[in-house]
Amino acid sequence: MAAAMPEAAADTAAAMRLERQLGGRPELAARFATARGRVRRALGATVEDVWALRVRALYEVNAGPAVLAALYELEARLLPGAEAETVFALWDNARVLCRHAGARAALAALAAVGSGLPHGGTGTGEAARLAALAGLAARAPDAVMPLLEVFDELARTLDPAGLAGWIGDGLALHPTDRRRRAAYFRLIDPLARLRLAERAGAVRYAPHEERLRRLTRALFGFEPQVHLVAEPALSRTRLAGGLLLMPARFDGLGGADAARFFEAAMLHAAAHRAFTPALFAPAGMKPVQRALVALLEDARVERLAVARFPGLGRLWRGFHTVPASPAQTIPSLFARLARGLADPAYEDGDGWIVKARDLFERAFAREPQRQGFVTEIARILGHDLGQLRIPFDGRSYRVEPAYRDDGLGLFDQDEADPSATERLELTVEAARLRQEERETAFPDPPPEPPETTSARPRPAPPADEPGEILALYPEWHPALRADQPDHVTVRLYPAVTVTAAALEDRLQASRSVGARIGALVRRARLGRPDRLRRRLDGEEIDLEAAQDALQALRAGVMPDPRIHALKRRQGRDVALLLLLDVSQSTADPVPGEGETVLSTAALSVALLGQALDGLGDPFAALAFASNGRSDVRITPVKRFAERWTEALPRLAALRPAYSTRLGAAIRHGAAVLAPQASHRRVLVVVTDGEPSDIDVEEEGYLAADARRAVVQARGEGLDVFCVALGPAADRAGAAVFGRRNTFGVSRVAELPQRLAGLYFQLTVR
Amino acid sequence: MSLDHFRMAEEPFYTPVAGEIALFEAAFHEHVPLMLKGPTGCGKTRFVEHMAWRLRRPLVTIACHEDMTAADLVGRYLLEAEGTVWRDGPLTEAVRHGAICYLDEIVEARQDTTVVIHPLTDERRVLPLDKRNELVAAHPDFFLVISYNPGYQSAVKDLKESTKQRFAAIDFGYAEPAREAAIVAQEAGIAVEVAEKLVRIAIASRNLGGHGLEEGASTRTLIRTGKLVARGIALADACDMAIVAPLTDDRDTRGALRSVVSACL
Repeated sequence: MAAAMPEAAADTAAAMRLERQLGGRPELAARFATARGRVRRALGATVEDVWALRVRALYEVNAGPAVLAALYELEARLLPGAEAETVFALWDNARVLCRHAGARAALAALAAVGSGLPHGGTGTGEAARLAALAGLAARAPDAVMPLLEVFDELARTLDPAGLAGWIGDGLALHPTDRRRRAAYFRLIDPLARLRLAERAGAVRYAPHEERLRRLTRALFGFEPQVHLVAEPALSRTRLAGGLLLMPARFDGLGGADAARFFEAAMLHAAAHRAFTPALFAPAGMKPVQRALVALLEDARVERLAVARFPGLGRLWRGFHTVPASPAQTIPSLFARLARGLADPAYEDGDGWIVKARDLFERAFAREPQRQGFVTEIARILGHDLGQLRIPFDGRSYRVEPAYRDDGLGLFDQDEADPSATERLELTVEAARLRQEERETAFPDPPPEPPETTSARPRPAPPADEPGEILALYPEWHPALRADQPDHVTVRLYPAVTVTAAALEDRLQASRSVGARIGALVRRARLGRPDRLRRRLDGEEIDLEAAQDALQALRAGVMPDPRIHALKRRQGRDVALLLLLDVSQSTADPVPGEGETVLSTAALSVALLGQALDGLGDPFAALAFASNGRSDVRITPVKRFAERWTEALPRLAALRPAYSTRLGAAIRHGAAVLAPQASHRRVLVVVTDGEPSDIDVEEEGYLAADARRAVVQARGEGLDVFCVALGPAADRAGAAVFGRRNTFGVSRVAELPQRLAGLYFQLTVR
Repeated sequence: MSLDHFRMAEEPFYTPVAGEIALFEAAFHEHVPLMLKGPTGCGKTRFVEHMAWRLRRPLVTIACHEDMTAADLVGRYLLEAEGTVWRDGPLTEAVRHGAICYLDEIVEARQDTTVVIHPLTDERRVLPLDKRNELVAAHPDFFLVISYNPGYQSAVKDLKESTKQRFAAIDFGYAEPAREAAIVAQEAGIAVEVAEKLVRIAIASRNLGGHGLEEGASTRTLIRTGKLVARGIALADACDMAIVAPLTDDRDTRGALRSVVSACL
């Protein structure tokens, strides 16, 4: 055979030597010869030798016959179409995998990468994925096998560059800890899933939230309550009471369509809330009937909404793309029926669909508001499907189009019969998800603060309900050097109001401090009005200018027309937002005072608030604590628009609990302060230590995030300062806020006079 | 000096919502100063113009602003070749010659400016000109009307309690949808069906008052939009130009308003 080909003369050392090495193993030699022939035919003799070098190199790292066979097999499928470079890359990366992770891992990697590879493909994607795996093997060989367990899911979600990026994230997050690294690459670590969604360029709901919230309010007069759920089983939105559960990610949704898609989904849910007044009783209904009820009810509420807002019909119809077809399967029939009910111009000759449309049209024309007709029609249609022997598989059924909710939330769950409620349970589960996360993360209830004065009223314990979501904020990951979008949920916990008598007593007792602060206020308030002279307009004539003007007139020259004077008060223009740390550590006693850090801080804020009330500076105060990233707790003490006296009872009710997730609090504070129209906007954080939280173990992670939040707030033009309480706190504060912007108050008892002093020092020119 | 050029030559178009014409007339004859409350563009100014025409009085309108001084209202000394001369301000003119004086958006003026109207609003009905050492007694037909938009002023921009209590108030709101559509159709010269769509958009945008928008689209905005439509501009473009773009610069709110427009058309 070699003689038949003139190129055979070009056979060089590598191939010959390998043949010699394989001489004792005829089976391997035969396979090599076949593969070699294939390479020569497809890529030419010049490439053949380079190729043979690579085969030999792999053979020499003890790859074993199985790895070689797997690569030959890949080549056999690729070779008509693939470039030489691609083939070489496969061999090179297989060798790296073999060398670092062993032949078994290399074989598994090749099997994973090659599965589903079509004949005649270019193989570039497969080669790039293998290269990503080889990169992982070189840096963390132990992680290759865990990753291969979930490789199919990764390959489905990520392109090769995304896979490499996701692997890089995992290595950056867990450079040394093998156990946690394995958890990441097995997708057990929740952060791995987050990074996966991020790398997949998931279409995220968050950027659309504010717009859709306003849109829903404008059209329907209420605000949607949306709850993001990162649960792969949830592939459609779901109504859950007043909540809308929103999958964190939608597959197969282009970024360009996202705005319309989320709009369609949100307004569909709003139409349910507006026009589905009662839940359906699922008792006695077969799964197919339930699916039909949901489908028909979707159509009914959309019709009602379109009657009010005709443009919504256009929006929703745009997602009904299923063409007419003779197919008689549930997914096809249901999608076509949905389209038929949404789009009067749609024509479909299927008898069942014609009947369904006819029944719906007649019932809707008679009583559009009556929900009950939906159940009646669903019974008839479900029965017909049974007669037609068309099977319904509840497990694989997906509501189409994808913007519609999955229908489960339309049924009364209490009445559901237990046998067929597997999917219903998911609703409850999804809603319960966060709750459990919280409970397992923090098994003990927060300890009560020590009672300091018996006279102090005990506030009611905080409700277990998570507070209303105020905002989602990103968090900076120092190892990834990237923001993790929507990582932190900030929730509102309104203050329990108690009588402020005790605090007012202490304010009275601190009168001497108050007097000193009062003196500062008087100095800060620029009482004397400025007299602005030589103005074009003004209340009175500026006599000096008038004389000059008269002289000019007499002299026959053009007088200066600016002859008026004006009195003006030059106002201070400073807005202050105070962020008060109320984490558990502020329950520590202050030496020699019989007070806690928090109660001293509260008194200081009260004194400062009193002073600012006299000064007229816009002023707001928020208390913050955190219980994991899903529950950063913000308690408004005073809003900008409120009178100071309203804040005193809330200030008195603050009590220490939970941890300090500083970055999220700063981001939220900046978001509250930034819209203020003042010339200077000052954010002051009063805290007693380093940031910490229960779900964060990495040293320095939260401090790095807080530092970034500070930098971003400064970028928005805010002045950010820290008042650090306690002997060691100013070091921690300086690490986040910078040394010049941190004011250490090592003796907490001094805080009351210091806080106001600092404020005026910061804001008086 | 005559205020004839402040008289209304033609009847300004106005559709009464309730009994406000009778209320205004009663207040006018009893010399009870009047405060018109209501959102932007609901027809307060048009109503005053209509009443001035109906009562055949000249109307002196002063748009208040933050830099307005008391001198801008009552007058000031000016410099001429031979020395200073006093020039009455618009308020003084109205007081002397018996006009309806309309202080539009009075909260925009600083509170220490607005106190100059106090002596005019009680039994005295005089305007002291301290710089000139003169006490101007009000003409029997002098009538003071202020407008006041409770929607958007903050605690800083509010009327003094002592100012508020000197006025009787008429509350204005947007007309109910059918009547508002009729007004828009009449004023803009468009079909009622188009006007109804515009009103639907406006009602949706008013739901956003305090949630992204200070106030929703006013009747005046709708009339402007309608006029553009009457000129041949496509309805969606006219809405974008006259409703969405002027109302807000916030990206999310704009997006929401655009979707509202497309949902209503």
